[in-house]
Amino acid sequence: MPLHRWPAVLACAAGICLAGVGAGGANLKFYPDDPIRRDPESQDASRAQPVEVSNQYDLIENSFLGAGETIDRRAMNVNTVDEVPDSSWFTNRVGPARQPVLTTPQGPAEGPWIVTGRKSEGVTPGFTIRDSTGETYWIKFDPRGFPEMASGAEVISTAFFHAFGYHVPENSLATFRPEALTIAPDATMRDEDGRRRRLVLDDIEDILEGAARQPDGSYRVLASRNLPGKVLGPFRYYGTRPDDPNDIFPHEHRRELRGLSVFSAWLNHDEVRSSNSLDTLVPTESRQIVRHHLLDFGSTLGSGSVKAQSRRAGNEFVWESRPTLITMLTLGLYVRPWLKVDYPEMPAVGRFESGYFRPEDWKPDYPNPAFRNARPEDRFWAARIVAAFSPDAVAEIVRTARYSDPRATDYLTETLLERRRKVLERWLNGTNPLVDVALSTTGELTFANAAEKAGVATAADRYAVQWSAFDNATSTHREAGEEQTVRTPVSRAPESLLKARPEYIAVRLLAFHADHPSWSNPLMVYFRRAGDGWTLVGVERNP
Amino acid sequence: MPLLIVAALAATIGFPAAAVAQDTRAELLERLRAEKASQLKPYEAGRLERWVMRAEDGRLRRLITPHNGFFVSLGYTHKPVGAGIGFGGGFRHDLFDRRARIELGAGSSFRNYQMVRADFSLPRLFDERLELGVEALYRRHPQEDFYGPGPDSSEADRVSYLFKGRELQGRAIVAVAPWLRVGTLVGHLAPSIGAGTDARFPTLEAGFDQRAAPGLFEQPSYAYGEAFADVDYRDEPGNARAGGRYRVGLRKYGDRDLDRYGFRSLDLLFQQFVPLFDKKRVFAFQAALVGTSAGEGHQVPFYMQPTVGGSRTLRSVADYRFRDTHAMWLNAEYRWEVFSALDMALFTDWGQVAPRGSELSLSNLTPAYGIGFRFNTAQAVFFRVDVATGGGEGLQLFVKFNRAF
Repeated sequence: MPLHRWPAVLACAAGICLAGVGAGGANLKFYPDDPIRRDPESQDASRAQPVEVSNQYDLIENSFLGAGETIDRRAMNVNTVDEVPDSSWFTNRVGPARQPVLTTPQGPAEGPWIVTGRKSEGVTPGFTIRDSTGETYWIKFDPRGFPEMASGAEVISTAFFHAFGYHVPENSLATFRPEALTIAPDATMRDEDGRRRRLVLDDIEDILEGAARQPDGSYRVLASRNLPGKVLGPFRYYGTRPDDPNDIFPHEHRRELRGLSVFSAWLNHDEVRSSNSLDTLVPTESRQIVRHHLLDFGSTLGSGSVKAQSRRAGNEFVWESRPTLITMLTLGLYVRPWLKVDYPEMPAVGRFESGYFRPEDWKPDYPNPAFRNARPEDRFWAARIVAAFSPDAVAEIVRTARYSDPRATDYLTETLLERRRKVLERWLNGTNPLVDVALSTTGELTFANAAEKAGVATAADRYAVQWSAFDNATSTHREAGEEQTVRTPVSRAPESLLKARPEYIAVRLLAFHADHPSWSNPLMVYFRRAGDGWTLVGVERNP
Repeated sequence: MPLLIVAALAATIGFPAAAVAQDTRAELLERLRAEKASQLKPYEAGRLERWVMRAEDGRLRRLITPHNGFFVSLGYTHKPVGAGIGFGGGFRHDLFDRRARIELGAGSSFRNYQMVRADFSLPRLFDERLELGVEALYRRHPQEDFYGPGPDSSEADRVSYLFKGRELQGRAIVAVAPWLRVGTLVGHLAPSIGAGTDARFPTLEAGFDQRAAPGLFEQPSYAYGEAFADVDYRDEPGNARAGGRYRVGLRKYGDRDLDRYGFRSLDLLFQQFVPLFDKKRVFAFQAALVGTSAGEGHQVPFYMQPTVGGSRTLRSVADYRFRDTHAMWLNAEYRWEVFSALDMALFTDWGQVAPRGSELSLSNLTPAYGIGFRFNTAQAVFFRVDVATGGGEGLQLFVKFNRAF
C-alpha cells in the first residue's frame, strides 16, 4: 500500500462514501443534507510538503507494477445523485441549462517583457517572463515546421478542460518581437550540469532558434499564467496524499479522474499522467487547502508538443506485450493498423483524425489507474458533459486558437465534432441513459433519455417502471404494485403508494432498445418528501 | 478507538445508529477528515522510485560525466573496434564564456588498450559556422589483428600486433549549411609497431614478413593533410530513420623519415535511410569505398590499409578479417520497430578487399546474413546484438554499445 489509503479503506468498510450508497455511517442511506453540492474540505492542509514524481518511475509503476487498486467499485466521491460535488479537484461548470461556461484568459499585458528564467520542466523549450503588471507567465513556443500547432492545441484543450470542470492554468496566446524582451538582472537558468547560472542573451537566442517564427518576424507563443499558491508537485492517479487531510478518496476511485478518460479520448490527451498535474497549497477563508490542477496540454489534439503527435498516441500504450510479440515474430510484416491511418497535411494541426478513432479503444501513453477503474456510469457522467458542448460551442473554442489557415480551424472543428459524436454514441449508450427524472406533486414521473437527446440513439421501445416505498433507516424497499410498462417517458405512482405517504419513494427504471442492450441496466432513483412535493435525493446507475 | 473503526464496527454488528451518528453528510465527512488530520505524514518514496528519480534527474549522470568538470565514461574517444570493454575519464570545460572548450582525457580497456588525448577547440566562431580545433593524441593498441593481405587470407593465419601512435592534428570545419560541412585536417602522426600481446595468437613478426606486411619493421612519421565534404541530412545521426549521408575525403600522407611509405587515400561513404509507416520500418543502405595508392617506390603500410570485417562492415567474419590497399563494403538492413525501445533488423553485408581498385568487383564479395536487436532511444542506439553468418567462418556474434551505421 504505497500511498496513504487507510481512511478510505475504513470509510468504504463502513459504507461511508459521498454517495452513501449501500449504507450510511449510521445505517442511513440519505442524510438531511443529501445530495451535497460541495465536498466540505474542512481541514487545514498547510503541513503538506512538496513532492517529486519521476516520469520514468511513473511509467514503470503504471506499466509493470500495477499501481493503484483495480476493483469493480462505484466512484467514491460522487454524491447521492451520482454527480461530482465541487471540490479542490473539480468545479461543475456545465450550467443548469447544461451549457458549458467558457472563459478566455487575457494573457500577459502588452509592453516589455522581462525574462526571469529559462524553463527546465517539460519537453517544450521556453522561459518565464514578468509582464508590465508584474504577473509571471511561462512562455512556450511552437516547434519549427509546425507553426501554431502546440500553442493552438494547448489553448483549445485548456479551454475544454476548464469548461469540463477541472482546475487548469490560465493559458492564452500572445505575440512578441524579440526586441521586446529584456533579461532581468537576477534571471538564472540551469546549465547542462544542473548548476544555476546567469541567463544571457545567447540562451534566449538558442530557444528562439528552434521556435516557429511568424512571417513578420514575431513569435506566437503560449503564455501560461503562474498558478497561485505554494507548489506541492504532481498528484498521482491512485492513492491519496498522506500529508493532505482532505484527500480521503483514493484517486483511482474519484469520478472526475475516472471520467477524465472520456475527455482525454475526445481531445487525444495522451500524456494524461502524473507529471502533467500539479498540486498547489492555496488559502481559503480560514485555512489552506491543496488544489489539484491538470496542466500541460501541449500533447493533445494533433500536437506532440515538439513535433506532430505520434501515430501511436491514443492507440497503444508505450509497452504492450501482444503487438510487440506479434511484430517481433512476424519480422515486422505485421503492421499495427494505426500506422496506416492517413492524416491531412496541416502543420498547424499535426496528426488528428476521427475516422479511425474508437473511444473505447483509445489509450493514454501508459495505463492510468483511474481510467482502469472507470465504470460505465463514470463514462456516462463524462459523456453527458461532452454532450453539453454544442457544435457552436466547439467551434467557438477552436476559434480561440486563432489559426491563420482557416482550413485548420474548419478541420479541427469537424474532427472534434465527429469524435464527439463517437464518444456520445459509445458512452451514452453504454449504460441506462435515463436522466432528469422528476416526480411531481401529483405523482407523475417524467424522465428523459440522454442518448436520444444527444442524437445518438432513437427512442426506447419501452420502459419498465417499478415503484416502491423506501425505508431510509433500514435501506429496505417495499414494492408498490406491479412493474409498469410504458412507451413514453412518463409514468404515474400507484395511488396506494401515494396514500401511504412514505418519506421516501424509490423508482427502478429500465429502458429497452434492440440496439442498446445496456439500456436495460437498472437505474434506481430516490425521492424524499418535501412538503407537498418530492425532491430527488438519490440516483444509482448500475446499482 | 478512532471514530472510523467505531463506525465500521457499528455498521457490522448493528450498534444503535445514535452511537456513532452524524447528523449530516458534511459532518460525517468532516469527522473522517479530522481523523486523517491526526495521522498525517509526508510522502516517502520507495527504494526503486528513489533510484529511478536519481537517475532521471541527471544528478548521477552529471556527477559521473558532467558537461563541465571531471568525468568518467563507458568507452572512450578513439577506442577501436575489438579493444574490449573500456572506460575513460578526464576533465573538460567550456572557456571564455563558452566560446572555447578544452578536453583532457584518457582511456583504457580490459585488453590493455590505452589512449591519452588533449583537445582544444573554438566551436562557435562566426555564428557557429566555423570550428577550429587542435588535438594531441597518444594511442596504444596491443592486440590488433592481422590475417595477411588480400581477400584470400586465411583465418588460421591470424596474428596479433601492437600499434602505438602519437598524433597532433589541427582542424578547420565550416558549416556551409545545416546539412553540409566542409573542412580540412592537417596533422603529424608517429606510429610504431611491435609484438602483440594477445596470447591466443602468434605475434605478427613470427608469421609475416615485410612483403606481406609492409612497414612491419620500420615506421616513419607522417605529415598529412585531408580535405573533406560531408553532406548529412539524417533525421537523427545517432539512430537514423530517414535521410542520408554522403562523405568524400581525400588524404595525403607524406613519409617524413624514410621516403618509402607515403600514400594517398580516398574515402567514399554513402548512407541512405528509407522510411515506411512513419519510420517504424526503415530500409537502410550503406556503401563504402576506401582506396589507397602509393607513389613510385612507396608502399601503403599494412597498419594503415583499410580493412573489412566485423560489426560495422562485414558481420560474417571477425573484426579486421580482410585487409589490403583497397576495400569496399555494402550493407543493407531492413529494420522494424518492435516497440519504442527496441528495433530488430534483418541485414546483409557484402565486402571485399583487393590490392588494386580494378580488382574490386561485385562478383567477388564475401557475404553476410544476419539478424540484429537494437535497443535504442529516438536519438541513439545504446546496445545492439547482431548475429550473422555467410562468410564461411561460422556464426559471428557482436554485442556492441553503438549502432551498425
